[in-house]
Amino acid sequence: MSGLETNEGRKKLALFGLLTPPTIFLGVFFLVPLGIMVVYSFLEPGLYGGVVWNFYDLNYGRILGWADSRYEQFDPVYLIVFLRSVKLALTTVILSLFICYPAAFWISRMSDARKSFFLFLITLPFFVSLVVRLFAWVLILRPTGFLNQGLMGAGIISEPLELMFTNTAVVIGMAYVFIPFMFLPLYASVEKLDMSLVEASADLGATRLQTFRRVILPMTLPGIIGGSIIVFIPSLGNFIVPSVLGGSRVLMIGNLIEQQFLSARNWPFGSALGMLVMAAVLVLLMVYVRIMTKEEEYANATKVKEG
Amino acid sequence: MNSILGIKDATKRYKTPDGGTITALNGVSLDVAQNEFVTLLGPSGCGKTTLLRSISGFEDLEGGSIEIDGAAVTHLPAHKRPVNTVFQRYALFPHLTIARNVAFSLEVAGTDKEDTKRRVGEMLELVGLAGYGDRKITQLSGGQQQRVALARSLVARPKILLLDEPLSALDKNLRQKMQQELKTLQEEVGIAFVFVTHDQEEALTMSDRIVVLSGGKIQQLGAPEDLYRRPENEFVAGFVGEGNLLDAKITSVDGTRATAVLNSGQRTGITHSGLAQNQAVKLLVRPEDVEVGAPSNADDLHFKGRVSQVFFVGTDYLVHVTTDSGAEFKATLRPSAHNRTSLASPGTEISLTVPQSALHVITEEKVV
Ligand SMILES: Nc1ncnc2c1ncn2[C@@H]1O[C@H](COP(=O)(O)OP(=O)(O)OP(=O)(O)O)[C@@H](O)[C@H]1O
Ligand SMILES: [Mg+2]
Repeated sequence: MSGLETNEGRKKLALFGLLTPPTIFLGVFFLVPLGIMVVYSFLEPGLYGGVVWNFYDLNYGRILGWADSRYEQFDPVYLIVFLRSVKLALTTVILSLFICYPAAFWISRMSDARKSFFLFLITLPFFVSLVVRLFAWVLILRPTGFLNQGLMGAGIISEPLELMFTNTAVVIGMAYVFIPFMFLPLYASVEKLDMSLVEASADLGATRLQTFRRVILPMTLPGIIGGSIIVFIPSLGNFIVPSVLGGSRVLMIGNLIEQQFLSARNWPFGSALGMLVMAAVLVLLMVYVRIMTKEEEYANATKVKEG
Repeated sequence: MNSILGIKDATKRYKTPDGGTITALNGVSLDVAQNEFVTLLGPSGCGKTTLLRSISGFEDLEGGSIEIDGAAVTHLPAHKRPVNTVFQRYALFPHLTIARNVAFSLEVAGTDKEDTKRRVGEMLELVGLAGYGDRKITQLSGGQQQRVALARSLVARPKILLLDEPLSALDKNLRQKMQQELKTLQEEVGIAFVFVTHDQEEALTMSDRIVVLSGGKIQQLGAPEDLYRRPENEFVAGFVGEGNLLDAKITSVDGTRATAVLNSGQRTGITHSGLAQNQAVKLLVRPEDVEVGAPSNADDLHFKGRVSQVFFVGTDYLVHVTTDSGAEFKATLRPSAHNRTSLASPGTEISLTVPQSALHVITEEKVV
């Protein structure tokens, strides 16, 4: 009781008061649904939607290869769709990385006023609805769209390119949507890069390429990894972009999950597919945390030194 | 003299944000000999860093040329020049160990592993960090980081080592220790050092020669003693060491002998070539040359006044005296001789003599 009288005690109380609402919020609206998903993924689907409370591992069996032909059929299509989603998400990461990395260097060298203007531009798309922005891409990419008309008008192609409903369209769309997520962590680490290290490297005889490989790349690696993860996770489970730009031809795991929950009304199977995405993300995060802890140790050591 | 660095007429201008230009280097010419320790000394903004960066290749000169060991390098990019730099904040690579930092220049040059390892070990030994190779940069003190920076830039045996105020981040004790170490190291490795500082004491203790810069121009180039004893102009006299500058006018000239009259009306004989009748000159007097008491020689100068301020500077007292004619005068009092400490308190009446031999004539104005 006497602890509350002290400053320390008051601080603790304040912290407790501040942390309680978000903790409850996350508990109720994140962990509970997640728990429901985990439980459902091991339950038998009901005949007309809903679940039957029996332990049932064939949801996973359908995906991963064990099945009992009386109930469920193993179909490799789910793994194929999952792997395609991984591939498209990785391509998205690489494309947005290649766009954002040079841009981050370019913007970090600007005067402060121009810098904030460009940073504002990058967040600008958030002011317009995602669906509207994606349909704008339909207008650009479809056979009679701006891109094809422009290229044909310029005489570069004679027939419209098949862009809509392809992997390319989906990757372009996802890269477009997630570029701000890639840019911001990248920019943070590029901005922090000490230019005197780049000079020191050149001074010691390193060519531009050697300087990039030996100094710039390792020093900005945390930003590259951070941005890549932040883009990879929502890309992997994305269903809006593939449904608008991929149609029925480019199906991603997110579309499958959506179908199971909304059309097929097979919640247990949808949950099992969701768990697959979760597992992939968790593995990735574990790798990330390992790298970042190392980084943190280094940062802490620096702080002690400067303090 | 075997010149390792030759700079001729180096000129560099910067644009300012408001559209004007700043002349950072204005016709600087300088030769540095092999094994020489040369210091660039000058106030903030005089162009020291610009000159150093022109040598290392990070600034492109607008005019003039630079030769290193007889080869023109004026337009060579930094990584191709056989010079290395110790940066003010060291710029060590935080993601590499100490050994890898030191090995950097050898690795990029493709030196073989065994050789690299051996040379890195030797270098770490030389700077007193043997056995520290596997540590991280962040586990070192400022002085140790300084030594890693030195080892890193010396390991590839550059023809010239450039140092931009490398000691300014260290505290005074460590700085003095590093000054001596740096000088010893330079003698040991036999590489020419071009060292930048705005600390005149540092320049005087370490250098073979000092280049005094101001406003992008060389004000004087010479050995530390020359600069201190025989400054060529008012700027150098004021910047290097403490001093009193007395206004005087030449009244008669006879060969290299001349008579000067001070504002106070005192006359004195001086020796200097090229003086003209009625020429205005300055007479430099270092505080430590000032004696207490009345003059014994007719050509000596005599000042009477009152002590206004006293600074204890280690063994001596530096006193500021307001003379009877109202001028400020600085003199050094040594406590050991004649118990003069009693004079070292504000308000004391004091009588000072400047021996004629202590006068140094300055004819040039401050050059900007
Ligand atoms: N990149 C630049 N752009 C514009 N002006 C510059 C630039 N670098 C230096 N200057 C100007 O050139 C002049 C010389 O600068 P320099 O850095 O060489 O001075 P310095 O003698 O090293 O000073 P300090 O002792 O403060 O380091 C200064 O007036 C400075 O403002
Ligand atoms: Mg400088």
